[in-house]
Amino acid sequence: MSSSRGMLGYVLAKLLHRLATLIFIMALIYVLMRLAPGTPFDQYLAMGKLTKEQYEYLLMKWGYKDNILVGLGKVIYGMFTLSLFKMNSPVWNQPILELVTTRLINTLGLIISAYLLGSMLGMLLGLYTARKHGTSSEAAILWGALVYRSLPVFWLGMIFLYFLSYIGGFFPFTATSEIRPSNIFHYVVDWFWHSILPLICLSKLAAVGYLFTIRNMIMDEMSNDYVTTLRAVGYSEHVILERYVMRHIMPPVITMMAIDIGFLFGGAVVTETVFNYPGMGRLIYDAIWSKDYPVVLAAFYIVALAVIISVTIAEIMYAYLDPRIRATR
Amino acid sequence: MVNRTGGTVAEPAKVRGRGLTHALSRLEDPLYYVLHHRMGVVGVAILTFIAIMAIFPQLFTPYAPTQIFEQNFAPPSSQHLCGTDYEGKDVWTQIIYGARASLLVGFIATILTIAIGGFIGVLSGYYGGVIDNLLMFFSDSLMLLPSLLLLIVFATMFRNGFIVAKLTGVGRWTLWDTAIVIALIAWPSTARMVRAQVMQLKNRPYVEAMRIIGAGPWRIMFKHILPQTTPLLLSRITVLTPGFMVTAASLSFLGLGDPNTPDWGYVMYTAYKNMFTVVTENNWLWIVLPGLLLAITVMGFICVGEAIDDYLNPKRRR
Amino acid sequence: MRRYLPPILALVLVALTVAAPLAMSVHAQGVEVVLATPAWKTLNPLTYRTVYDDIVLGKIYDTLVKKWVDGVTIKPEIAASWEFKHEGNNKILIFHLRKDVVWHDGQPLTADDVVYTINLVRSKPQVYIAPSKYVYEGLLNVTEPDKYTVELVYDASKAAADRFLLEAFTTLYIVPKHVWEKLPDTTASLSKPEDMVGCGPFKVVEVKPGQYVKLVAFDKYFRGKPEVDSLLIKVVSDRNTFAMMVNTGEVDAGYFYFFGKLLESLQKTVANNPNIKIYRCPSTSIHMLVLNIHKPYFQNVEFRKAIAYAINVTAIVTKYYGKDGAILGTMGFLGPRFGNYSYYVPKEKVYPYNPDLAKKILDKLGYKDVNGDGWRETPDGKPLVLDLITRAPGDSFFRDAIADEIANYLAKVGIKVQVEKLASSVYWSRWGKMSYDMAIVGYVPHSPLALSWFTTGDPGNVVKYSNPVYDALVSKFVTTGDPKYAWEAEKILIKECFLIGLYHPIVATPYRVDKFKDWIASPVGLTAGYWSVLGSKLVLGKAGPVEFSAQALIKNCRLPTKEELVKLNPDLAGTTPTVTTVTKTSATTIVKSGTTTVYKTTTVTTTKKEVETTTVTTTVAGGTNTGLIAGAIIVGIIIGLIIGFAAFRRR
Repeated sequence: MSSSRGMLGYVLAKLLHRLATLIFIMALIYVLMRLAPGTPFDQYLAMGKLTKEQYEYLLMKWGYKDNILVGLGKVIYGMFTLSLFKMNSPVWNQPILELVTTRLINTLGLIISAYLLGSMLGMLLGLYTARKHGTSSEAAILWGALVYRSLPVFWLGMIFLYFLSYIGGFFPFTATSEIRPSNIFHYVVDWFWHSILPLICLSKLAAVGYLFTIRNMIMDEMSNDYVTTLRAVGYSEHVILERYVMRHIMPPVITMMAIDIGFLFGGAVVTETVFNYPGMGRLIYDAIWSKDYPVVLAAFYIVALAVIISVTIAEIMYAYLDPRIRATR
Repeated sequence: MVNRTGGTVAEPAKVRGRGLTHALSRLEDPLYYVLHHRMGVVGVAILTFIAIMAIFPQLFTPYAPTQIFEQNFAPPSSQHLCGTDYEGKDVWTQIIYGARASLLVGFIATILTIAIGGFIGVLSGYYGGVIDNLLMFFSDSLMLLPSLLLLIVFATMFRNGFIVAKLTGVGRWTLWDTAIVIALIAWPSTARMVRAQVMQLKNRPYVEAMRIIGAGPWRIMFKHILPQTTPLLLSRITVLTPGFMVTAASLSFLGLGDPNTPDWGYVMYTAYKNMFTVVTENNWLWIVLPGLLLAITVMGFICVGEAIDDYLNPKRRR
Repeated sequence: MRRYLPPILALVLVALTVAAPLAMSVHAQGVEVVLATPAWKTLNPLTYRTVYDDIVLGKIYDTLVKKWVDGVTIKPEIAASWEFKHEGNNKILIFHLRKDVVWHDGQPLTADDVVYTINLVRSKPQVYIAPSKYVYEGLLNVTEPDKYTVELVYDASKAAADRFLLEAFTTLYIVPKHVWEKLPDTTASLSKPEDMVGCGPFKVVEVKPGQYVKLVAFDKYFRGKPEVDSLLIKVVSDRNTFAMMVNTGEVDAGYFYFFGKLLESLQKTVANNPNIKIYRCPSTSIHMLVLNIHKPYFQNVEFRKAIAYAINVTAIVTKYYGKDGAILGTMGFLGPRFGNYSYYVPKEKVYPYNPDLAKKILDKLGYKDVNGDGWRETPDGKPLVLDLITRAPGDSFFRDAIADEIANYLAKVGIKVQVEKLASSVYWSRWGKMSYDMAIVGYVPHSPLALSWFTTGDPGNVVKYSNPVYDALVSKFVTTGDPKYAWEAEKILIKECFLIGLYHPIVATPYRVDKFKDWIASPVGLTAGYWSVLGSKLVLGKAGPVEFSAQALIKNCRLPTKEELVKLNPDLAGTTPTVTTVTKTSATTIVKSGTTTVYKTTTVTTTKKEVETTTVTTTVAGGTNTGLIAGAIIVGIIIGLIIGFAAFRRR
């Protein structure tokens, strides 16, 4: 009983902590965006498309003249009532929810596929190389992974575009399709055909990291005394690896994976830029450029929420799997 | 003399006194290890080559990076190995001089990151309590968000060359700004590592002893504890620098670089922006080369890093 | 359990990819055309701000009157005819509407809708920013004498000249009263097809923000059903991608332009493809070097002239735009596209490239190189560094490269220029605040009335030029429409020499003719890529297509005589106007001393009269001071390595 209450307390403390983090992040971004020079309307004023009154009115209407503290209050209020998403974007003049939804779906499709692809590949290869330690196939995979890891994502994308799309003509130039295929199979194929290049670029971020981490973890773990004991008792390598070693290294791997989801959003910005993909990363990037702070806030809120929820779940799972953690807090 | 079998933490007595020569002689051993490590030696070779390129770019190209030629978008020829860019500047020269900019940004950002991370890590690890909680709260928050997105927010904020402009009067974005912005985002991971080690170290008897003889906390922290984390901080260099080089290149690629001192990312940015002409002029070197060099440099750092890792982690020594 | 993990994950993957972009739509029949556009922001006919929005909206909504494809003549659209009446101080404009105009939802368009639209815009001009301000400037009253007549009463002293007033109505999209009265927010971007009801040639099927807009032909369009049956306007963010997509047939045409080297590459690529044609048209826009007249140096017109003499605009434009990629920019702001309103004087005509004269003027003004560092100082001995702001690289007109060229030309006469290549937001904010010495900027005047952008107090007057004589001339021009006043105003700008015209781009854009042949540039903006997809029958009627050649356009302009030129710039009386470069040889010698490299470029220019030798010395101190630091750091690493090797030897 007491154990479960301890667990509950732990979870509650964690959640409170995360909430504070969320508020801090949003406040930070709001303040940064407001302190940055310029507004979305400067350009039109400078080009003479807006009169001074029209410009002032727009600034008032979209809160670019708010006191920064009042604005901060509005943002935090908006976080809880979700009115952040009901606002209009000053640049797009459109409810943010509409603006974000389609892009979020696009990006999630990309990120999650890339993530699954990358992490599965990384884990499998990590396991494989750890087991084949010392062989030439390990060396080949490691060197290959090393080279692959060193290639910048955007460069990889450019190379793909240049050689496979421009010169080769195998793949389309934009990563979205408007074709409405007749059946679902065609649809999936079409989607993959459009997204495979960005997918490969993005999955790189996950794949190679996991390969090295898992390999190193397994090798560290394998040099422990208990493994030697198990070996002496006569368990097979396979059983040791699957039943004992993996169980020990899974919790940190899960946490790592959870944190990485957020980083894929970062990688998505570059990938989406190279491939003209209408996704969240691109939206945030454009919004930051045009000083469209309501969109920036809303988009960051989604990203931060996604990361925080996944990290929190991972941490709770981690604590559940590893009781030592519970004791220390 | 030197603790060959030691782990990450060396004996305190070896650090104090005897100045620079001694400090350098402490590096002898890891260097010997790295140079005899299979990956290490490859890495050192790569980095030496890139370093020569960065220090003596004149050796590799007869032109100045600012020189503008009559013909823009010239295809590769014997005069212009990689052709000329949209402005008529020699692409090969841009790439050679880009090595310097890229390395510079990576190093400055690393040094700043280590300075910030080390300071905050020591502070938070030594004091613990509220200070620790607060600092770790900040670092947690920064670590949670995708760093590239956060970087873009910071970068647009300081777009006018906000930080360095105040110091030098240059009213525009420079490499320093890129480095500073990166360091502002990237310190948490280093801080966490330093903090973890400081928390171990502060309970050591020698620290207790210092405290008893009346040394102030700042003296203990920065004179006696921080030097103990040097191996960790040094090993961070090989991890952080290539990462920052790629980050800076990504920023340049997104159009947030300094056009006046082009780094590799920037050369790729201009190539991407003129991709169609690059295709018709068949000037693929413009696209391939800067990225390849960046990748090779990153690989060099990774190799050295692996070697140092193996050195620091006796479990994996071969 | 673990055995089933991979297949389960695979299933999840597949499920996710399927669920990704969930959208179903109707399969269109007939001619289907795909247009590309860089982006659009606000899809609202009364509050949109950019031309990209207009490309979409122009297909859905319609105006009372419209410009014809020559870009000048105004033709009836929703209004079948109009008349002007002058009663005392009032000017009355009466529109007689067509009786067969129907909204997309089947309701007829009546005077009610027109009056509603005008009153809406008039009630909050600060919100409804899309229509030209001349629509409501001096407007006293709007009435509807009958169901198909609209009467507007203007104060004659405030309203624009008849022609310009009518032109203003080409920017006012008429919106349906019965739909707009129910809209919760009439200023927001519209995205639902049922809200986007217009009376234009195409009906909205689907809007996906940031991705595409799907339109189908409106069969009750009052001029007849368009030839294109369905239209997809798709967002493509980058010109290179667009070029390739046209090449492969992914899109048919779009709002992207090419010039100079880019155009050459494009022509090379499509040369063998009979399905791709290239459309060319000079743009109304003008790109200029603006000298900030509020900075101390530039307050003196002689100094501004020295700058003008020092720059070889023709050479710069030829390098980046090729021989036929641009018309040389006029010094008087209105380019040849404005026909008779343009007093066309390119820079070299009135301020010919003449570095010696520039040097002479600078010396006379006291800007001399006192300390012998190769750069001139101000008369009171302070260093002279001018900053030149321009757009960051990647901008579509190579304006950063042009800034570098200008800096090089000015360096030749000893003026140090600091080029600042700025990202769009920073650029516009500095441009708006006038925090620059020189700026490269592009203006897009839509009508000759744009001359008012330099009158005192005008919102478009970002350069804060103020001259009562100019103001008076322009206000006379606005109310009378007489080109004479425009010429006089332009002459003042030429004399003042603070807007150094660089070029009017002749932009080109590719389009495919395999699905649809009848491409006609939309009269709203003839700049390449603003396509009207109605087909020639609906747009041109019986008239033939309109050609725009640079020569023909320039012929229509008011060209100055020699005497007039001398009047504009008295310097011309003495010197020969143009310096013809016959041969040019240059050699670069490199002198290395330590980490410093000196590049000496000696250029021998042989002109018809004299041989001129210029030596430009570039000193590269291992790059910049940052380079030294880099060097130091890297030397440190190498020393470390050497110690390492030493250690390795000892063992």
